[in-house]
Amino acid sequence: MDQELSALTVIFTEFYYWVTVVMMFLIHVGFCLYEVGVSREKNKLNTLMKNSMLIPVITLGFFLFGWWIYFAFQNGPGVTGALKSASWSEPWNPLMGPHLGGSGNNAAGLSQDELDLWPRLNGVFWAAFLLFSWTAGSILSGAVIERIRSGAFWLLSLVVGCVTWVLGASWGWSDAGWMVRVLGYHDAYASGVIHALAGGSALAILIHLGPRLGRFRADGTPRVLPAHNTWMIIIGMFLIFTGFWGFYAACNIPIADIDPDDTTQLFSATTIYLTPTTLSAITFNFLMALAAGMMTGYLVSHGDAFWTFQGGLGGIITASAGNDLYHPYQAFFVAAFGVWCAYKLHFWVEKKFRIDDAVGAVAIHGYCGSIGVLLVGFLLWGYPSSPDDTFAPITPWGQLAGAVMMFLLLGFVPCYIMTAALRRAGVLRIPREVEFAGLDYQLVAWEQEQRQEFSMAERQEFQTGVKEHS
Amino acid sequence: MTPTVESWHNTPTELGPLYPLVGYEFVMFIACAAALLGFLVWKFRSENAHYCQMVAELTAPSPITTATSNSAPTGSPSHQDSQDAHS
Repeated sequence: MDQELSALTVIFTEFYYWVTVVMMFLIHVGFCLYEVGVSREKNKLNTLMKNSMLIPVITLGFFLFGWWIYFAFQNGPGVTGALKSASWSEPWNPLMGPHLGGSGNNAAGLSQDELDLWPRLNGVFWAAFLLFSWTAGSILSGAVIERIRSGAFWLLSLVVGCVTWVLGASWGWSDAGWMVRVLGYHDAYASGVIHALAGGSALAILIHLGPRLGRFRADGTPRVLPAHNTWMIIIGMFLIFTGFWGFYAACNIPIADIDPDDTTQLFSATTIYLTPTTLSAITFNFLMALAAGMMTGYLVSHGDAFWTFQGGLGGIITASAGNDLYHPYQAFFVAAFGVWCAYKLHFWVEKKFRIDDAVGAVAIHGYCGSIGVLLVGFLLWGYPSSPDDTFAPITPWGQLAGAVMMFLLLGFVPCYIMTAALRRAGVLRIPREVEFAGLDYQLVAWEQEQRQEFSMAERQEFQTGVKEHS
Repeated sequence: MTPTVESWHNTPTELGPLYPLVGYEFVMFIACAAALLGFLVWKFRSENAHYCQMVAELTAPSPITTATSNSAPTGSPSHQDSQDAHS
């Protein structure tokens, strides 16, 4: 019976993550629609391909080294210990492929524990994390549209999606990460490890990339570039909201025995830190944060559709760090505060520093994520960060250090250095002639040529037909 | 090639890896890493060539310009200039 129960638990967990992965695909569909909608007609196909092709690039990179980094670097290494052994995540390990967990053909010398757990969970865990990586890449993608070279973008998204965000997750978003252990860092639904980090990365890239031609007037005030398709943006945002449910579910472990003494068995869902939570709790908070974000976005932008929907996303992102423990009212006000700050900061930074963030990614992901991490420090001050009582509790300074780590040290700095190198090599930005003509210029010219030829042939055949009939 | 699984009637608890070429995972890893690296290098090079060609096409004097003006076409700033303009 025990064996049947544990088999059922493993198979349920496998199926649970598999479903979250399918749902999270919608985030990427949403990002594609949204970005293409924001871009101008002359750049839309290039924008689509730039974002879509990060899927194969990041997938391959995450299989080759990203997954291993997540487990191996939880101690820093060098902060709380050495590099950790994580054989199941090594890209040449038999557990990184179809495996039934049997002892036959065990040339790799896998332990029984590894054989019990990982054959059924490795692929689905890997995929759930991989989809987070795509999201990190997509966050950058929107900010830099219409002027970055695709090759440079894919390289940057490979670094963010397979190295820097994975390091952030390894340190601050795992049950044994050194930031959780030493700082009491708490970021239940990844406000910091994905959003603040990707927002910081986007800001660094934008500084070197520069604004689109014509974006700013001589006095520094920005011009508005109307989106080419508002409906694509709105449908894209709805799909991102839908996919976000999968993201939240994927951040949980669906069934775990949470009794620390093992005297009784109490099963519950847990966060990534193995602290108990329920899907019910996060459902309350997710929706209240969405409501607050949309309401605040609508209020501050005076009913602008773009900022209303962006506000909804920003609200969820701000509240996510503490949404396992907040009351829904707290989630509501935290989300509202985050979106208000992000909106104001976005326009201030845009005007002051001439930063052309085409979709407001730095604001919605970077500022909202960082603010969300900081607020956890005050609202959840003194809460244990882990079931392990030797770990530091949640504190404002631990969260401040966490926000700085995510936005600045893991987000901004590596991308600033890399983008500077790409710029120096002359492979960062597209030539201005091409930017002016449009990235789809050749395609548009070819399409026009085809249409013209077709139209002439049509006219000719029509005229021949008229003569035959007369 | 000898298959990894020769019969599904063997004891299921002994079934480990199912894929062919067990033991060659490291070789496949190297091949896959080379494919990723190769793809990125190819993209950088082809993109560079593509944009050079587009710039040449876009800055070439059109037949109308040539017919109406004897003066040489004013060259457009180089790509590096366009990047430096943002600094």
